[in-house]
Amino acid sequence: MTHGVSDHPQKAAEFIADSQRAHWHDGALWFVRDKRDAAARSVPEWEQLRETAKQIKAHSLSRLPDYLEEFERKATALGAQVHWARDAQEHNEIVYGILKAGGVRRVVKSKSMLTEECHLNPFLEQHGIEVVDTDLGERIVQLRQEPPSHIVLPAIHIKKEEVGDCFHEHLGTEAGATDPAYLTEAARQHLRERFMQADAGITGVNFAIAETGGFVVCTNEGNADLGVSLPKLHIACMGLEKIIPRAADLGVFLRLLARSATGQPITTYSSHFHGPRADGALHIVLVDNGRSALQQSEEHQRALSCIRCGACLNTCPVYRRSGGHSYETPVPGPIGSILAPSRDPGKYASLPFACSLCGSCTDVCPVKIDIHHQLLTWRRELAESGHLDWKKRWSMRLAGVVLGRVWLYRFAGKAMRTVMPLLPRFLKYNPLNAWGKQRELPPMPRKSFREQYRRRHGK
Amino acid sequence: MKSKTYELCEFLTDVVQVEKLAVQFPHRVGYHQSCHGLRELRLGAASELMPPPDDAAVGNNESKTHRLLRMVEGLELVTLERSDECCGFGGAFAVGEEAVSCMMGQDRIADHQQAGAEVIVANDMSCLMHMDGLIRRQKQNLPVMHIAELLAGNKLPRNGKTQP
Repeated sequence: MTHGVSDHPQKAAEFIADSQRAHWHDGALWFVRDKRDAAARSVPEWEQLRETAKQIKAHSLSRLPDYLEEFERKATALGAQVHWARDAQEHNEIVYGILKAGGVRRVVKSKSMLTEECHLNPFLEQHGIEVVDTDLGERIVQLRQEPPSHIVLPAIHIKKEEVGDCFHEHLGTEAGATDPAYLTEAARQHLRERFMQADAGITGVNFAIAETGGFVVCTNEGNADLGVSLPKLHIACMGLEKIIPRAADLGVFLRLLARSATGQPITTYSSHFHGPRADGALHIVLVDNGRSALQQSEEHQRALSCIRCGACLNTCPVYRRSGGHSYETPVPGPIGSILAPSRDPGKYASLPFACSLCGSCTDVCPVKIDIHHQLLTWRRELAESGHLDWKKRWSMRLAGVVLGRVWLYRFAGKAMRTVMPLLPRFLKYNPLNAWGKQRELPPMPRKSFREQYRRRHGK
Repeated sequence: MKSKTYELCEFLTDVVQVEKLAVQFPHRVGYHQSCHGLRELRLGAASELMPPPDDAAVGNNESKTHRLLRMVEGLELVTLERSDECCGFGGAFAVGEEAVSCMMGQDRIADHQQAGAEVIVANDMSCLMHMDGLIRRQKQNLPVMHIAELLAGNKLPRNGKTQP
């Protein structure tokens, strides 16, 4: 995961090789997309909400430093301690520093894509601190020692039989158990124990409000609440882009978030935090890690509006069929394919091409990010910065030469129409012809449109 | 140039304002909504977008092409499970991401088959070339037609041959 160059086509082909599983995965996520459609349809002003959310985010990003400083002032006044981290390393060290100072040995953590992005868990484990992910899906992938495959449904790639096997091995449930209620109850008991033992709770942040210095964490399982209510130390880690100006703006986002994510009218728990509890401490870590650079990019700034609902993953025909792990990045799918190359263009150069440009992500996005257009822009930028592999480079160069010269284009067309029907099959369907692996080539017409048109109109 | 360029169906409904067609096509038709027609040219309402409350037609995922198809005598439009999912052609994507591309195309074809379509019709030749390539490799009997062929009065292709 942390080294080498990502190769989406290869990983996707491996996922699809198990056709039954790939279809099951596609169906599971299409079901979520369907639920989202029904939930969105129930709000008459849906499109207006999306437009409002987009504008609030655009405004917040345009004054990011002001709002962040206002948030810091207000949060500090409420008694929280605010930390600034330039990158993942600094973030991890700050969190470790707080834990070390508090003599913490056991931590419970609710879902946070930021801490995945920073690889916080392995860092803390190296320093002898036990971290337990308390979101059920996250706990499953943590026990299986793999990364989440989806930002909202981390274990969506795993079948209940496999959860049964995993829990049998780690939690001592009965062998072969597949009943979701039984398995969930086992996880509940197991997690409760960890909650009781924890010395600190770490959460992510969905929305931070500049005006009040408070923030909101959304979960469906209530694990964030329990994780920060039992231990006295709460550390909230947030990316800079989570800021919104006013408490009144929250309603717009909370209505969009759950409907877009899972088709629920509202997330089960939307927990508001304003300063530490009476006998505890609250630390807020604000993390940049490439965000301010993205904010400077006119092309990709809008990607920072993302509220991590996962709707673009659920609707993406490529994501549904290739699985989250094929992207080899903490945030997979369409939005991840914009964010990852900004962090490491060499490593993630294949991701903006893992897209048929169908545009479904752009239309489903609750904050109206022009996702597929940004992926197209990325392709150009990667070509210009020399990050394409030789096959793409040369085939595109050749296409450019042919399409840029009328005479050559006409000649090439005529040559194809004449030669192709004469060629034996094995010459046309060779290992270099990726089109012909599963598809027939189109039958060659005898005359081009131009030739037919000329003949008919005598020109 | 952009303001003077139209997609065929858009031209027929918006500029020529066709109300009637003297065309017969007594078959069950599966209409494939090509993504760039749908989400770039906005020939219809994409299923992701929610209609304003007073616009029922948009809510039905109707497009300008649908309006023309409804004028064709004897034509029956079949109902797909996924009304506007991408077929997976996507230009260089078709070869760069061969496995995903073919699975997407295969799934679209299967949807048209389960709906009982006798032919797949689309506004975009590249979607059709891709799906037709898959269909012919598997020696299945499901012809494809461009919308212009259908509106020009061509008959259902038999044995892979166009019938004017």
